[in-house]
Amino acid sequence: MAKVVVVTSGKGGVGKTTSCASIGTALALQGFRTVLIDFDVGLRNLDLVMGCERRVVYDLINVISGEAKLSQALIKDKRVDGLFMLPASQTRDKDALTQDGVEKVIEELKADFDYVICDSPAGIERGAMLAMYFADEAIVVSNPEVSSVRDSDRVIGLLDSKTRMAENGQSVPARLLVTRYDPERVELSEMMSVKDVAEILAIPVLGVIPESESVLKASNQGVPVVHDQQADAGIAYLDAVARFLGEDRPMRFITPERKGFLSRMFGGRR
Amino acid sequence: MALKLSGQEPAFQFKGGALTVTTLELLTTDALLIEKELEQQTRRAPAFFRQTPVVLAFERLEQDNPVSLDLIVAACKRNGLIPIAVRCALDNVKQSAWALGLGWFPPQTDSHIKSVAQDKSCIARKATKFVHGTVRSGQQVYADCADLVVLGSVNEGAEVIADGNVHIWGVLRGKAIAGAQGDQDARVICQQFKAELVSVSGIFQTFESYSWPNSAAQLIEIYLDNERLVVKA
Repeated sequence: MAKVVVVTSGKGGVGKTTSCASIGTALALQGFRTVLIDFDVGLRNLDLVMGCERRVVYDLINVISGEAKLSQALIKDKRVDGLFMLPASQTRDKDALTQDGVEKVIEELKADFDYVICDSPAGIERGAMLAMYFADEAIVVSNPEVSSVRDSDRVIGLLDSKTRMAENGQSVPARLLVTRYDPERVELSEMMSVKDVAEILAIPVLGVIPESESVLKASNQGVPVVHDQQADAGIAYLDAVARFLGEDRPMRFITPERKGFLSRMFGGRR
Repeated sequence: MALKLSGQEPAFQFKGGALTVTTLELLTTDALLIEKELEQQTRRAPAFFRQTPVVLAFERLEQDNPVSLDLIVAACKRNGLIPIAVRCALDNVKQSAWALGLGWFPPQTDSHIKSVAQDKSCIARKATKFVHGTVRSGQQVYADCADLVVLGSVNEGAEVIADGNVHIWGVLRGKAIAGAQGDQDARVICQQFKAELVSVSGIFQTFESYSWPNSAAQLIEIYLDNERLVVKA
């Protein structure tokens, strides 16, 4: 039975789409048939991060309103087998997103895939609520920073009350992905530690993605950072996905690197 | 809107509106004392007192003091003030006002606040309400006529409210309100105190990080002592 996973955060710009692209790619690399759905109607981004923006013809709204078939709208990833994405509409109004329509699309995808990953828009409006409504599991993305943590807290509350599972008396199991983590700044008390964030949000930690220049580079090139196995962030995403699939892996990149003299002088972040 | 009846031009219009009127809040019924003080004030600002309409307010007086409204009104008039109405709960004052051709306003009291504070309808408590897990930002939990027990933390931006006591078995980071119907003996108890706001029986206090107890994890109890909140470690 396919699993529907929502990647959500409340706050914008914390790395939902980046994480979604890397998690989806990593799952597909493990051999799971995976589809990514972009729910950010009007602010479509996932296609850029996945590097398939030039192949978008039909989108989620077209499928919901019956203007296109699901198979026409799905875009196959060029790099990984078994990875697809369903883009959001850039031009249509987000009111076109209906609960019935989304349910139909997700049910249809569940028949064909192992994982349906929903990339939630920021905020707690219609798009975000629909992205989480049918979820079986949630990955809550948060930066180690107070406003992001508070928004994530709000979203976890909504996962526990405004989803189909919640309406059936269950709660959506949520796990925390801390992104843009800089252990050196944590040590200087300029940034919240992953322990503090996890204590406030009171959900298990799925992974910690270090702040890394390779993430921005990867997004701009349209190649999910998980493909870059030289980058800390790429390795951290692979770790997170391994944990997501039940493997027990120690956390990496949460303590400052003891740098040698030369790398302190010349080394940037990888 | 003026009504036009049988072709006749309307003679007037009624209009509602809020006017600023000077109120003379009386602290004594002694007309001589009032006049003496008025004379002093008039000398200081004669222009202010010339033909100034005033409302005589009696709320701050003891209930059973005899009031001779005619003497007070006369004292006012001699000093340029023109009493137009009284504001009081006392029936005899209201009647003499009518006799003197003055209007009447109902008393302005904080009776609403008081009636909440004295409401004892929640003395009989219902079964304690339990919340399992964290109360998160944006969530509000209310225990109606009951104690509230949170088996988790109350996060920033969350509110827990009880007509009885509030017990938090984790960290209080948000708002906790105990004795919401006015029970002054209600308490807030938490394992760790990082609250934004705590209120007991309507008396509240906001907290900044520097006003939290130093020790990170210790049991904190908050209660009312003589209408002041006490945060006790």
